[in-house]
Formats: sequence, C-alpha cells, structure tokens
Amino acid sequence: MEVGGQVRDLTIVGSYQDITNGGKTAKSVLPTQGNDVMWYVVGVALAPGTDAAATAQAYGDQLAPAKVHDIEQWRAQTLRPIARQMTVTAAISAVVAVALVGLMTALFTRMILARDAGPIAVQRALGADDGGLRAQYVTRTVLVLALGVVVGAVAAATLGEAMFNLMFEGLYGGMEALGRGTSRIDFAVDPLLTYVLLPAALLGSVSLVTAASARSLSDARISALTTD
Amino acid sequence: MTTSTPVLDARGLTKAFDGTTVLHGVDLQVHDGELVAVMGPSGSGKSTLLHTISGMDTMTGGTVSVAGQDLGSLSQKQLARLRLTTMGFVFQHGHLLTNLCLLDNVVLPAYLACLAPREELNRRALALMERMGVAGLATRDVSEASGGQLQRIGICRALINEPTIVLGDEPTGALDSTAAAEVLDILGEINAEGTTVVLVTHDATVAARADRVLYMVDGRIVADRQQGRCAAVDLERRHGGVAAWLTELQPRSAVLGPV
Ligand SMILES: Nc1ncnc2c1ncn2[C@@H]1O[C@H](COP(=O)(O)OP(=O)(O)OP(=O)(O)O)[C@@H](O)[C@H]1O
Ligand SMILES: [Mg+2]
Repeated sequence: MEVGGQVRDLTIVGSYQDITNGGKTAKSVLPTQGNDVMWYVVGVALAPGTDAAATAQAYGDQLAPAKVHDIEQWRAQTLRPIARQMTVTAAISAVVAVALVGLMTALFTRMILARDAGPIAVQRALGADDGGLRAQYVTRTVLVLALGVVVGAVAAATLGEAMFNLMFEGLYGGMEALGRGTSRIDFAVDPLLTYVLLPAALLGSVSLVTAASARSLSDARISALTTD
Repeated sequence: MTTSTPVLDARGLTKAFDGTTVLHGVDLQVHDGELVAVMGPSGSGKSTLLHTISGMDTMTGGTVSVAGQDLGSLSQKQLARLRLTTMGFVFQHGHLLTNLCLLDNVVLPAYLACLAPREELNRRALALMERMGVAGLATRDVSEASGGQLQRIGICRALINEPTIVLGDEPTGALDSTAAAEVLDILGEINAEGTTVVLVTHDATVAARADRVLYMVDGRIVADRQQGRCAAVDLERRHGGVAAWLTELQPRSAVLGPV
C-alpha cells in the first residue's frame, strides 16, 4: 500500500464485518501528510438531552464545507437501500416458502389418499360422511404442521443466527472463511411476524390445501375396489 | 306383510357407467322382515343393484326409497347418515379396516354415527361379538382371524347400529361350506328377529334359505320367486337339489346362462 508516497507492507491482523464493503474490512491508523487525505471523519458525542438535529444544523452552518450529519440520518443514507432489499428478499422467501409448503402438502395429501383409497371407500360405503373424513386428514396434517412450526421456531431461535452467519462467511470468503467469526449478524426478531403471522400463513396454506385436495376422497367407491 | 310400505322401494332404476347401461329400469319392492336372495350370472348387475339402492353409487335414472326416504332428495351427508343408521353391509371380502383391531372394526359405524359414548359402544359391540362367537378375538388384528371369523366380525359391524335392512354382497362367497353355513345361520337368525335381509349370491344353498329369490340377467330382474322358506326346502327335496329347483326359473328368460 502506498502511504504518503512511500510503499509500505501492511499485515492484516484482523478484520471486521462490513456488509457495505464485500463482507469485511480492515482499518489501519497511519501518520499522513494532510494534503493527501481525502476526507476526515470526526465522531461527535453529544451530552444526554441535546437536540441532535439542531446541533448538526448549527455545526453545518459554522463548519461549511464539512457535512454534518446526525448519526441516524447517516445510517439511513448508507444502509437503507440494503435494508430495503433485504426486506424484499425476506418477504419473497416467506411467500415462496408458504407456496412450496402448500404444493408439498397437496402432493403429500394426494399420495396418502391414494394409499388409503380402500379404507376410505369402505368407510364411505358404511355411511361415513365425506366432510368428516376430510376433517380427519386436515387434522392430521395440521398436527404435523404444528409440530414442524414448533421445531422450526426453536431451531431458528437457537441455531438460526449461527447458521446464517456461517452461510454469510462462506458466501463472501469461501470455504476457508467458515467459522472464523468474521460474520456476526444478529437477528432482529419481530415476535409478531415470527411467532404469529408466519405460522398463521403456513396454517392457512396447509389446511386450505389439504381440505381442497381431500375433496377427491369422494371419488373412492366400493364398486371400484378390486377384490384382493 | 306385503301391504305395509316397503322397506326398500326401487322404481325404474337405471345405472350406466360411461354410457354403458348396467341396470335397465329395475323395479323392486322389499318388505319388512323379508329374506331376499339376488342371483344371476357374473356381470348381470347384482352388485351394482346393491350399490345404487344403498346410495353408495349414484343412480342414473329412476327412484329409490329406503325406510320411507327418497334417496334422490337427500344430500350426500344425509344419504351417508341414512346408510349409517338404517342399513348394514356385509361384503364378500369382509372389507375390514386393517389398521383397526377387530373390536374397533365392529364399533366403527357406531363411532361414526356418534350415537353413544365409547364405553357403551364397546359393550354393545362385545355383546354382538359374544353372540357370533367371536368375542375372544376383540383385540386381534384383521390378519389374525380366519375368513369365517372375519365374516362374522363383518356381520357384527353391520348390526352395530341396529339397521332396518342388512345388505350382503356374496357374504359367503369366500368361505368353505361349513363356514358359509354358519354365517347363513346367523343371517337367518337376524332375519327371524325382524331385520330385512337382501343377499346377493352365487350360492344355491343361500337361495334355498331365502323366502324370495330374484334372478337377474343383463341388468334386469327376469325372475322373482316369492314363497315360504319351507316351500323352498320342499322344492329342494322334491327335485333332488337346489340346482334343479333353479332350472324351474329358466323358462321365464331366454337369455339365461349357466349359473
Ligand atoms: N365402477 C364401474 N365402472 C364401470 N363399469 C362397471 C363398474 N362396476 C361395474 N361395472 C360393470 O357393470 C356390470 C355389472 O357389474 P356388477 O359388478 O354389478 O355385476 P355382478 O352381477 O355383481 O357380477 P359378479 O357376480 O361377478 O359380482 C359389469 O359389466 C361391470 O363390468
Ligand atoms: Mg358382484
């Protein structure tokens, strides 16, 4: 690296996570001549109770051409586009997951109904009501779903962050970066979304799809049963 | 007996599968307490007749009423309920559910009907099984009983909701003659107690016990012999066998094949 006209060998002894800069960044503190410096960043800590926006405005007026930002504003400017993208990505994954669960439920229900065609035909012949039989299948898949949601939520809450960070490290750093601890993204869990809305969406998708697929059990007829 | 409203009343009953007509305008009245045997060659529509008069299969034309209820006017749910509470079914291959023990198989229709608490249903089922001589098999699986025993379990299942009419599709078809005779004795007893019984059968000895024999050919009832059980037995004795007695029916139809 060239610093102040001099080539210097720098050894990277540590890095930190920086999602705006390809995953990680390292910083060094070096003496320089003032002319080559592109910009200075000066952090200002305000005393508690100070009006940040008003202070920023006042400094900005006094220190032009320096740009003075409230840290909140700065954060919004640098991170908002990424945050927005991540929100969209998360929303799309959620929708796709619910749709996939629905699709798998439909296929699974069809398979189970095909397997149970005999017993269903017999029960219908004896006088079992189609709605009642359908309800049995809906209950069964909903129970499985409930179990899955509980296991999934617990796994996400305990292993989720670690897995996500591992994935992130692999994504940016390749295999050798795995487990180095470069990525330390903490999940900001929205309890309403995570533990209420998403399970409710899954529940709705699964029960509707099962009920719809199970309509075909009305086709199971004793007259179509082949004798052993 | 014949002046009462029939338990089963089918008029102009037709049934077609994909454009092929299998029942051609069948008229059939079965009265309270009758034991009716339905005979006929394979493919003549006997099973289809049972399936349509019980509402298991939809009819293509005509009307059917069972226990005074017009099947055509009932919703799927009401139809299922009627079948559950007024009809009992015995099938050739038992059609017991393999994932239930034998007791639960007997209880199933009562459980579906939700008429009484479970203990009461179990008691009723065990009493029936006791009577049929299969109470010892209550906790066994379907695979752990003989064909004759399974058929008796099937009869218990048919009777659990105290039906007005019992319909059997070759209930003795898969049994040897001893087991078949035992099952027939049981069905005869049930009939003697007042339950109407309609049996589809290939077996002439079954027909010999019925007080009425219908003969079907190509989706039509071509013979309908109504006579006392004793008369049937007499005929059997006089003609040296049921086969001979049945040939008496033949002149009524030109298309009769071998039985
Ligand atoms: N589910 C079905 N789909 C199409 N055709 C059918 C169906 N069930 C029965 N059939 C046809 O209807 C006709 C009558 O069949 P059915 O089973 O009623 O005869 P069956 O008198 O009971 O014969 P078997 O003595 O062999 O039991 C046959 O030609 C059969 O092929
Ligand atoms: Mg048949």
